[in-house]
Amino acid sequence: MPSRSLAFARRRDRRVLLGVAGGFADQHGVDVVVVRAALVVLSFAGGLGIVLYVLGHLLTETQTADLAPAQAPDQRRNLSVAAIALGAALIMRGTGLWLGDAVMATIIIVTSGVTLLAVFRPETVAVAGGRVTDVSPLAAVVRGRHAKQRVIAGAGLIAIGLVLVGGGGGVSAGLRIGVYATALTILGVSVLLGPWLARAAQEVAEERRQRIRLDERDAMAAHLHDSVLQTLALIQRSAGDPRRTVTLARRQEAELREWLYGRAADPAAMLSGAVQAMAHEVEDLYDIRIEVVVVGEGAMTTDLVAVIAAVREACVNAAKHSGVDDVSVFVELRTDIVEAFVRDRGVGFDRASVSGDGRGIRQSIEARIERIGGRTSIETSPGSGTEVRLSVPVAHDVAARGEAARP
Amino acid sequence: MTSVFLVDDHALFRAGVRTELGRVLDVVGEAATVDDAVTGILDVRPDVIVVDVHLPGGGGKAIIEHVLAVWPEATFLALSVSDAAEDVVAVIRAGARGYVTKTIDAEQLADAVRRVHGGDAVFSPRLAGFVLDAFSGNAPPASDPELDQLSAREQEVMRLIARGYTYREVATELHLSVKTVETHVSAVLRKLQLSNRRELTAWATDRRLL
Repeated sequence: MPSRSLAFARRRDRRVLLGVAGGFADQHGVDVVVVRAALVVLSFAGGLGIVLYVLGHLLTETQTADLAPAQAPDQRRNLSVAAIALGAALIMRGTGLWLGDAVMATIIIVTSGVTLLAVFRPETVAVAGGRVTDVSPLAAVVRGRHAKQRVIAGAGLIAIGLVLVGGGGGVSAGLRIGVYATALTILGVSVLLGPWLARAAQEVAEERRQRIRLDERDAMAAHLHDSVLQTLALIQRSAGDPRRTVTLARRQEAELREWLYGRAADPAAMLSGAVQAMAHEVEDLYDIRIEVVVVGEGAMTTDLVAVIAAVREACVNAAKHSGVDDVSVFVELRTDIVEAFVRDRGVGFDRASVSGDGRGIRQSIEARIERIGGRTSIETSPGSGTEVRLSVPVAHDVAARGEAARP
Repeated sequence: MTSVFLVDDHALFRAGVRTELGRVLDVVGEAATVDDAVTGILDVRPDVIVVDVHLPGGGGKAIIEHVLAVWPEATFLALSVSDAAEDVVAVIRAGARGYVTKTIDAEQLADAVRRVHGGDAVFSPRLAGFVLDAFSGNAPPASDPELDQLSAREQEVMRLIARGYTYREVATELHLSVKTVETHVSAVLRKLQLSNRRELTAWATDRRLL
């Protein structure tokens, strides 16, 4: 059905009756209030609205899930639907199935006023999963874009309609009494049914909350299944390989921690997060353990990116050549300088004898740091481990870490 | 042989540590909850209590406070998987003599236990990093400069520990005796415990990092 332009699926949630108007609105990028208003007006025009609604219900199916609208409402499409409805009403006028110009004019004007009041509600944006942000309809009416103009225009139209009915203008006294009697009846009924309606609305809201909770539970179950359970299965299978088991457990620990305590902001945008991320990556690639300590915190800059890239290279060198699987990384960002140290207790080396293979050190570490105005020194000798020391002057707003990291 | 009491709510982890430490130390008791731990510790009076930072019912901090109130000579070593600075600093300020992470290997853990028993403070690189962070920044007019700031030497020592140096390596690097390094670390521990430095508490509470 989606291939046919008029085809739509009835809404499953956020509906008044059967979800026909909502489904149509979602499919065609029209505000649902406009569709509903058009149907109401046309219902008075010889019952055309009712016929259309029933047809709409017969020809469509309910959505299988709560979908977000296919298109966002658009003012031009709103206007076109309103124009089509008006045209249809005028055609119905010709058929004689018509309550009289005065009555229909009043209905159309009042409906237009209500529609105008309700249409511009930027807060009630449909979000992924078909949920709607929680803004009460009343609050939505008096807030948002052009709120004042909208309220004035809408209320004005309603007033004109009421005056037309009440003040004569060719309307018979009988009809006037009829309209006011109807209004009184509606008022009475709503007073009687009000509490019940409120309770029903509350139940609907509660049901929605329940569903959101269930969704969250599902999401958590799915996450744990994809991550923790998978890792535990892998660990069981690789019980004979302690190194692999340790790697798996470590990676899962980091991931789970990130998921539990992770902040919404991208952690890699800050120095400590970026160093951690780099260390985890090297740990995974080379099966080593990197003890990371970061002091000071600041937003990443191109200089800091270069420093971390050099630190990464030093870690990789340690992983490849040191012969041990523990590496210590210490990065300290102060007001005027950033220092980084990468240390292992491995075999060490003699720089003179590895000049051929020293490209990694020369280009990836030293040249990189020189380019940003920093210095590199490497403390090593055969048998005594290695420490790569980097220091780069920075013009950086260093913040006490707690302050910078506050979410 | 140094006697050790283990407090950790994970039975598996406790069993693992007990097996590993049992080869070189005398594990005299263990507990999984705050109440059991306090009763057990006061009952057997071990040389060192290895206490998990995170425990249901108040954590390692509650145990340390309860025990020290009755038995001020008790010696604690904090152990955790948590990297949250506020928790670690809270346990140290409650009276633990050191902090190590659970990823430490058995030999290092046994060594740390012996060292706190010998009266030293045991700082993992991570704790040294926390300390540098907490005492860094432009020091405001300190209420007690002696307690609220690290001396230049103490900062140097902390930096080297954060870089992964052992006390012995720190001593070699700075041309000091190991004893002097230990004195500096103990002084830092004392400052960490006694300082009223506003940043220390505020930073520790605010921080949600790592």
